[in-house]
Amino acid sequence: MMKTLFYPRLAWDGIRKNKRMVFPYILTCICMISMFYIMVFLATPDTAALLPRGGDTAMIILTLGSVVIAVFSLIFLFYTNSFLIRRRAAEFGLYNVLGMNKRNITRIISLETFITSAVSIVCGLLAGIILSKLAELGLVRMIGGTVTYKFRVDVKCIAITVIFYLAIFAVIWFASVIRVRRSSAVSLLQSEKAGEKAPKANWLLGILGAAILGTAYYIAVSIDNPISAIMWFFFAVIMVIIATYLLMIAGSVLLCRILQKNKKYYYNPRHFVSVSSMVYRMKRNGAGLASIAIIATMVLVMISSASCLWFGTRDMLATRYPGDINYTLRFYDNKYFTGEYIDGFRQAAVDFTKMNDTEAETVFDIPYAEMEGVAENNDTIDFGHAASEVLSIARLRSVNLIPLSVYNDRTGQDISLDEGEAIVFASGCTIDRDTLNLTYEGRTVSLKLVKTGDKEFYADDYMKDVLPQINLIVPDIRPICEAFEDTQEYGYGVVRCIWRYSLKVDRFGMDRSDYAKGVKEAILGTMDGDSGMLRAFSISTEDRERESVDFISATGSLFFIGIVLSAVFILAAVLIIYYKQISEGYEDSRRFGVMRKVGMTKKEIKSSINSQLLVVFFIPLAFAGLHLAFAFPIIGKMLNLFGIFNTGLFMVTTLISFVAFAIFYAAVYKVTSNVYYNIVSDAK
Amino acid sequence: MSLLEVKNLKKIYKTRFGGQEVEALRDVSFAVEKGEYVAIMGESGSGKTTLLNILAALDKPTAGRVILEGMDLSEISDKEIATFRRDNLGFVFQEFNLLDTFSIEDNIYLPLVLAENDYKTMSERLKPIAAKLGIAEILKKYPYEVSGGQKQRAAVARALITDPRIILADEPTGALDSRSSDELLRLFGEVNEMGQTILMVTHSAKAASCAGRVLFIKDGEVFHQIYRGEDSNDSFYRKITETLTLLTRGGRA
Repeated sequence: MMKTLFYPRLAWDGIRKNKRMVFPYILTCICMISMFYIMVFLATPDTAALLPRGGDTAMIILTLGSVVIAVFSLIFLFYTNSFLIRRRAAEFGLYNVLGMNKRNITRIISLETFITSAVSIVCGLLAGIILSKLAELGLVRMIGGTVTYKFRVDVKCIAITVIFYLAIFAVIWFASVIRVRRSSAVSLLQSEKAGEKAPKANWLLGILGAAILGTAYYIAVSIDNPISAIMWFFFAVIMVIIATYLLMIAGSVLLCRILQKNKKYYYNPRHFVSVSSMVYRMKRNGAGLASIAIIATMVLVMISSASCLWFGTRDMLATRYPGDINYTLRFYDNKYFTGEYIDGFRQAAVDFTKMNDTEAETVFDIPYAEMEGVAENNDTIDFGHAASEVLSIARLRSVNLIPLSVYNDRTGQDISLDEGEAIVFASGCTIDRDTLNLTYEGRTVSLKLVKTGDKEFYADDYMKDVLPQINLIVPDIRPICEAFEDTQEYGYGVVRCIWRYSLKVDRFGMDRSDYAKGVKEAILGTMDGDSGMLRAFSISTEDRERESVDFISATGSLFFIGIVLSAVFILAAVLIIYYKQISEGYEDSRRFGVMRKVGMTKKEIKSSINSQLLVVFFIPLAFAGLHLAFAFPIIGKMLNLFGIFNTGLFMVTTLISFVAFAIFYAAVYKVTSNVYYNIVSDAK
Repeated sequence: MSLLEVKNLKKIYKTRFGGQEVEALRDVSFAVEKGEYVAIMGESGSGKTTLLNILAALDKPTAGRVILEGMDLSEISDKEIATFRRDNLGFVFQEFNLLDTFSIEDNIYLPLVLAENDYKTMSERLKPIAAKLGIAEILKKYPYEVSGGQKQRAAVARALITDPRIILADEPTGALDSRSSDELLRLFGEVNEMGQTILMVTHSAKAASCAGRVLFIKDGEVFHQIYRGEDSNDSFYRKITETLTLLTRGGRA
């Protein structure tokens, strides 16, 4: 009886005695398991069924989210556990010296892992099941969908979660057993007290870190278009991660060594102890601090951009779809691109509206032409390249030709231009010559650029593009169309003529989708009989409400995932911080005693330790802030790809995210530093 | 007037919840003259460490007084006590108590830096001391890189550099091998000959035999004391061991 209970009791004692270490670990496991369950649960078809049409998009995003949590759990729990085992090496060493063989110790570790895993999985699942309903309601509320109050437990999700985390714990268990088996009793006993070498300043690594960081920042700031932003972002992220580790590990030691060389600065009561202990503190915590900085940056980037996407969606939809019902007519044959035809189309739409007792108002009515070319020199744009030949994305330009009448109309001016003249508005690139040459296979149209100097005009954000854009206001589009007339009879030419027409509907006299279809039919009806003309058009109808569903469910679930993942990452960062404080506490308590005996006052010691803690603690936050600031332009560019051009909004979400994070971080500091002081003053 | 006067020291430890009382020092009185080299001996648990902690102002007596050059330690405020300790007392510990984050040189400078001396004064003060203690070569090294004997000599240098009124040594040879112990005791002797007052707590008769006077503590009281007089180290050593034997038998001298 005694014998059978002996090992379980030892294992239980091991957990209990190390509760300062083990409890936070278990808590983290529980949180990760419950988050994982919730994600998997939300990604099931049953949940997607509650969501509107966009349920598919949301499901994909949520599945991706659960994969991220899974991978992160594995890495992070593994890392945390190896830290715990290392700290307890002395305890296992003692067991070994007292006559337990490694098999017995393995048994204790196995039992402990069993207890912590069982507790984590059971509690994690319970929490997950309870919170899953809440999460579901939140998601449905955000995206818009069917709110049900039926409580659902998904057995398949439970099975996935249990199997996956059992596997993780098995890996962790295996790693701990190997660790203990490999080490000898003496090394186990001594592993904590092993004399620590004074860290050497590594100039190479320190400077390398600074150089890599500088390069990454330069890339982030100098990127000027969204396409290259996507390409370089990944690169820049990897560089920043490497640089952060190098700077924290090597750079910080280097800095301290440089400070120590300055005798006047170093041999000063305020700096003497701090600087020399800082070297060790950074050496031991450099990697941990770098991890915190990177996690913090990750969280900030994620939450600020996801929230910007989410809060910007409605704005974006409003500019992208100016009316409730939006039509885009593409002319494959430019000979039909005349005022008369367009007037006819418009009239058909108006008549249809009137006939069907619907009140609608035209909010957007622009005939224009778009073309894409490659900028040559500073004054020529060549449209003759096939897409596959274009080597440099940075030189791609999107050119819009907009009739002067539209410009005058929308800006309320009365400007006149001669044939061959143009007003130019560029965004994402600069046009500073007097003439602009548009060329296509030997044919060139030269435009004399007239400076009007006022009323920037981008034909609303409607036409905003991710490429650098040149908007040319010309008296008439047709001459240019004709100049570049392609031999191709149907299909896209070089110059693509487009008429965009949007209606804001105040009252539908019929079914919404029937109305949208009806207007389209009416427009097509004007071409009655002319089959050649019918083939030269395509009309696309976009109902803002219908289109919004996809966008909102995509950005909504992204935002939702952003919040959940941020919570997981922040939790991880808090745990790293907590363990850092604890391990430092145990080490500093020894030093604390020596300093007191040598003649430092308690106050001096405390203020010195305090300032060190503060510096060490806020370095990651400072790094995260810096990274975020430099990432701002490149992320802003990437948001353009999602149709978000609102820099002000992104700045606001970034600032709010950072401030909120900083406050939370400071609170964590306060709590964990109390733990630290308790340890230091416990062991006098 | 004596350099250090200890009058009727009494120290009672209470367990945390005030239940049991342990009397570490019952009634200890003695005096140390300037330039003296005094060893305090006793078995473990006799109250030696408690006595030293009180002398070092790290602990407060329950009753009695400690007077250093006319200053009563109990009258010094908590704020000033660290400064007082730094300026007037030098410490040598069994476990060296060097900070592993500092080089040997910086460890020695620590008390001077705290007293806001500049680097030049400090390095000039260190030179003769380092030469005397034979640690000039290892100043730039870190504690983990040098031997126990060297560490202890560095600790002695740290104690000496402030030019203290008295050096308090707590089992200074306790963690050293016999050769390093001999070396350290020889250095203590030399330092004492130059006029430095030393008070050393030890339970090694060998170490005590280098002192000029030995106090024996038992059950929280000064039980006996013997002077070296004209004795050689060897004969003084014999006298000490005889006294120790008597002490363990429990008789009165």
